[in-house]
Amino acid sequence: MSIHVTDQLGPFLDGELAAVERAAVAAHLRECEACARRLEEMAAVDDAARSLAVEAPEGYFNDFASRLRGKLRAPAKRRFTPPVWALAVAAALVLAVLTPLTLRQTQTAPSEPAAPLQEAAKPQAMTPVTTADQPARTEPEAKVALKDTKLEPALEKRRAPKQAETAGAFAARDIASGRMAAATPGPVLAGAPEPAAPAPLKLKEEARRDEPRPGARADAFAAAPPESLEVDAAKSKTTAPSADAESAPAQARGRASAGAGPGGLVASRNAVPGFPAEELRYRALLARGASTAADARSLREAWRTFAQSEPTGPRSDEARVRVIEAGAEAYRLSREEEDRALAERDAAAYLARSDAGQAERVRALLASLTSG
Amino acid sequence: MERRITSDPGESDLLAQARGGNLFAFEEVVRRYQRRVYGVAYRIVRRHDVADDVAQEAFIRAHHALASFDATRPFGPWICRIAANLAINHVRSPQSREEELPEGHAETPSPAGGSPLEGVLHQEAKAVLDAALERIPADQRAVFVLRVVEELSYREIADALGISIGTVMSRLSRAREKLREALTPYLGQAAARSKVDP
Repeated sequence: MSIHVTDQLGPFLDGELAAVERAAVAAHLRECEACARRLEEMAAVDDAARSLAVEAPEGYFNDFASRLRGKLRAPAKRRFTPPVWALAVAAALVLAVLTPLTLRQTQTAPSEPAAPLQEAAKPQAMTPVTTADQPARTEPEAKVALKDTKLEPALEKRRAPKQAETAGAFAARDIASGRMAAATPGPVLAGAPEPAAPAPLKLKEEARRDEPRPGARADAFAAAPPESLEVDAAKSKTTAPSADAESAPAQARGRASAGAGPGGLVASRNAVPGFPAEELRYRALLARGASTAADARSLREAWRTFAQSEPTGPRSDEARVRVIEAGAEAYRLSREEEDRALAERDAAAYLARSDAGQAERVRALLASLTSG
Repeated sequence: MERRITSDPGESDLLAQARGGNLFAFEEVVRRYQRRVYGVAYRIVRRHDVADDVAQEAFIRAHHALASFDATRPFGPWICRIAANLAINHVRSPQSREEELPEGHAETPSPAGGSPLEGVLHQEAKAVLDAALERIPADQRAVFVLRVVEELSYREIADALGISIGTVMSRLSRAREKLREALTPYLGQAAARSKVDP
């Protein structure tokens, strides 16, 4: 009898031996009862281990995919560095075009002294911009530089709380909050994860390079809440184009902010280059939560409006389901029959559609309504 | 199957759509593989809560890396390898505590068997095997799970875990030997009932 082949029994069992080796082991096994028994036991152990099924808690897999869905969208803030660059550049271009135009209008106005305006603009351009580590020039300093010029009203505007500055900043903030993660195609998903911090830093660099005025607080407005955009939009709409040197960025802000929808994002098609307003609205709605019944109802109606405004496509299907989901949430929070009845009607209407793509999810929602 | 994407999209279609940014398609892929991925994770980390985290993270990473995934290859082994790596990393991490299983989450035999050991694998034997699996080092357990349960080749395991084929073989051999030793009292009965045909 040949020497034992203990070391080769595993690879033999796993089919990892070459034909010649396999034949040799097989021949040995026909003669060696010890090795044959050992192989037998190894196979039995493998079978026993395979027979131990993993049992997760009841219902665990029912919502695994839906729980995952939120997480697939949430971390997007780390994966959108290229778009932030693009948006920052777009914002800079807007500024580069609008600022000279506005200045020209200001200079040609008969009642306004052009020279002081230019003089006022020069020191501003040379003043270092604010960074995260260096505070903006204080307001008294700014007042000195701008005194007796038409820029003063704009400075007052800038003192307003929660102010957003540029469309690029808006987009960066939106991206940083993860709202652009959901349905962005291929390259986004393929992007290697990167830290969240670089995006606003890059934006600041763009602002430093392209913006001619001081105190451009990219770091501050990058973190501004959505409502600040709406406030700023209202302000900028009332600003005459020739009023001051800040009207150009104000116009840019106005474009970025005009038509802010229920989710605090823009409805204007000019909002962010490359990102249709519908997409932004959709993502804003995805990002909204509801902690009260009123919130949930508001969200439900916002989704309903969205679904009606975009009757076809995957977003509309998701929106219709979200109507039901928010409705169910409203019922869960309020326990009012009206909420439940409406959610059931919405669900029934959805399931009756020939293009209902998420019937199973809706049925689960329906079941949650009846189970209480 | 839900009518989410197409009438009955194949896996490659789903993956292509997921790669294009269709989250519904990816969710469908998740549904197809969630049990398997969770199983891999659980068998290595031995705790439901950790296995849940690992399984979710595996899908998230797979989603992020879809563009680099070779669509001509099966998705299952790929996602299982991701899960196995994450599970091993967790077990190796300082904060990892391979605590006793929470009640109600223990492994149970699957309804369909066929194992030579099945006839004699009563409750005591199950407990012994379960304990033995938990006792072996996570590195060995991962190789054992990927080979025996997921049926990956040695090469696939080596690539997945970043080790040599020789290391795969040695870890697998040690794992099998420890499990065999632990089950020796029961293996005699199993061997008497069943003969392996080499």
